[in-house]
Amino acid sequence: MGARAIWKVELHLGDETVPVKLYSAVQDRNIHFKLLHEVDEVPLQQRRVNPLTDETVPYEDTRRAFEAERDLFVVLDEAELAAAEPEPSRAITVTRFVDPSLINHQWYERPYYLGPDGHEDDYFALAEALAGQNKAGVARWTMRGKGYVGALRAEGPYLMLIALRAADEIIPAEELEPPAGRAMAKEELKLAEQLIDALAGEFQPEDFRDEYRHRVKELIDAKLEGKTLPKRKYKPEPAAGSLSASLKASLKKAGLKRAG
Amino acid sequence: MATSKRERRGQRNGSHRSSGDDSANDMAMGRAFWSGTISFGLVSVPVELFPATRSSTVHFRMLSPDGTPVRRRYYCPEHNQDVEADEIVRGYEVAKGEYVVLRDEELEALEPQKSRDIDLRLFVNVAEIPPTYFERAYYLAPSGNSNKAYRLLAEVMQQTGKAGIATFVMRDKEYLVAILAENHILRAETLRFHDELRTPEEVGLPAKPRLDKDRVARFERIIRKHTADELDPEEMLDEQSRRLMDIVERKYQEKQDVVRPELPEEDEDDGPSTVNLLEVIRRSLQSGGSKSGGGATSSKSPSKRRTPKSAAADKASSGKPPSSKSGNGKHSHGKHGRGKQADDQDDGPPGRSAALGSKTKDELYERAKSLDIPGRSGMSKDQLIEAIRSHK
Repeated sequence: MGARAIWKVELHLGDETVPVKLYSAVQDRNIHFKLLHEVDEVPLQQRRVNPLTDETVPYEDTRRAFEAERDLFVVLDEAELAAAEPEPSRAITVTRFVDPSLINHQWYERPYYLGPDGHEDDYFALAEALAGQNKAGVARWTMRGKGYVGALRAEGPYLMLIALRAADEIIPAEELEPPAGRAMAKEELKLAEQLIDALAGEFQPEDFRDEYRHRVKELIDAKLEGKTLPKRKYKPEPAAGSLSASLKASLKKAGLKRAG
Repeated sequence: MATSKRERRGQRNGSHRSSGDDSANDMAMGRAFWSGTISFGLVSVPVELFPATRSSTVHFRMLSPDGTPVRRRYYCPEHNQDVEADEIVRGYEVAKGEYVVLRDEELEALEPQKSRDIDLRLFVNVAEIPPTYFERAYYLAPSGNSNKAYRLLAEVMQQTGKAGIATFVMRDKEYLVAILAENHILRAETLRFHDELRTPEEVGLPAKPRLDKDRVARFERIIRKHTADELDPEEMLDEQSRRLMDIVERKYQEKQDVVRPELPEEDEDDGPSTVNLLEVIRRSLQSGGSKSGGGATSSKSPSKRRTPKSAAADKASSGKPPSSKSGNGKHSHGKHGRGKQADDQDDGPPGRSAALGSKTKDELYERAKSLDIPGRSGMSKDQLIEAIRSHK
């Protein structure tokens, strides 16, 4: 079946050009609701009003403003807004290649697949070269009036482009002071390390499921068939004592689980 | 093209029902976006959660022609009138115009009882988590008496390079998270669920053909030629927002197109426009888990004058759970914070306005829930206060 490409675009690297198609790598699984008027279950519309007059304000009559101080606005006109927009581009330009570890986890925002748009041999050769050298490309592009920075990576034999948050959107950990206190007891550090060791494993994403989403869906299906869902019970967890007592007890428990 | 851009900008703003505004509001008061407990084994670490990302674009407001910020109202086309929050229910469309109605209580019943618990049962190497899974980061600060346990967990996770994996429910959505430590500070990175990521087969990418070695070598040369040891910090910045803020800054200094509209008396609090998120997180980390830490500075106070530029830089993130962003522009629901509050010791009688006003939306929601106030899920913070006050 396959997904529809969002964009046909050229990938520029140095003097080379590789034509690609951009696809979303994210599948929306959220359950979307409409807001209804309770009495008649009619879907509600939204209207923009001037709260002083209660009159509807048509979209064309609205103005954009930045709240510079509390309740004080600087109004920008169309031309000023347009002036800040990046030049439209028909290319994704790779400006440099770096060690992937330079890209902070906090920057990752949204992944896209790049697929070949003709010239498959170039496309797959680039992916192979990227994977072999274990590098990520820093790429820039403009899409729908917004400028992006992304990481170009190999994902198996394919290319992936992960849109990154701008660095100034992120609060880096180095700018923060960690909580302070007395030095920790070696004994506790050791116990905690053992506990983490006992609980260590591989990341298997398919082991985790959005339970809440599935329950909402179940409820919807049950209601459709006019049934009710059985109530579920949860058992409370035992209370914890002192930190090292808890660590020891946890280790024991984890150890038992392993052995059993 | 230009219009659609404007429309998108508009949709980001103006809607006071989004959880984003509430989080900004809470943050200005120095309060967490969410609070809960991390447990590993039998050790529990009460924590508060703060967005680690600021707003992605400059946050513009929509003004009426006379300068008054516009409000959004829900409107019933059948009754030809505006509809208040307590008359709104959620409907899942099963066929064109046919809905299964879900009420707040029904959805609440689906939440795990310990929805405020992030139970770490698995620790993995941070480097093992594929980058495609990362969605959004939140800093965790110790709360209650958890300073010691917090530091212990952070220390050991950092030393071992491990991340604890768990799922938990926050504001109407279940999250998969990796809790990791950097600079001795715990951070929660929300991850996508496995079924939210497409495989190359699902996308329909073609199979890899036999490769020509020379061609691969050509690309390897290009990669080597353009390899750098470092990122270019300038390149990683949001230029568009900077350009916009330059314009705003200039007009603000020159007092050009600056308006101070008259706002209606009963105007809803939209949350402060400027929140120094960095400052809020700093304080929370330093308050050492003591609740008395008090509110962080917000530029809301007139004494502290700030330029629009610094305001934008400090602006709190929408803090919006990723779900609302992906709702293809549809406003799915205006529901927040229904989970169980970790510390609900304050159970004083409703009706004292000052006390209510200082509560977070989460706390107010919990109160409304215990009073069984109808329509609470769609209510703004002020509406919740009003409803609790008038409930007798």
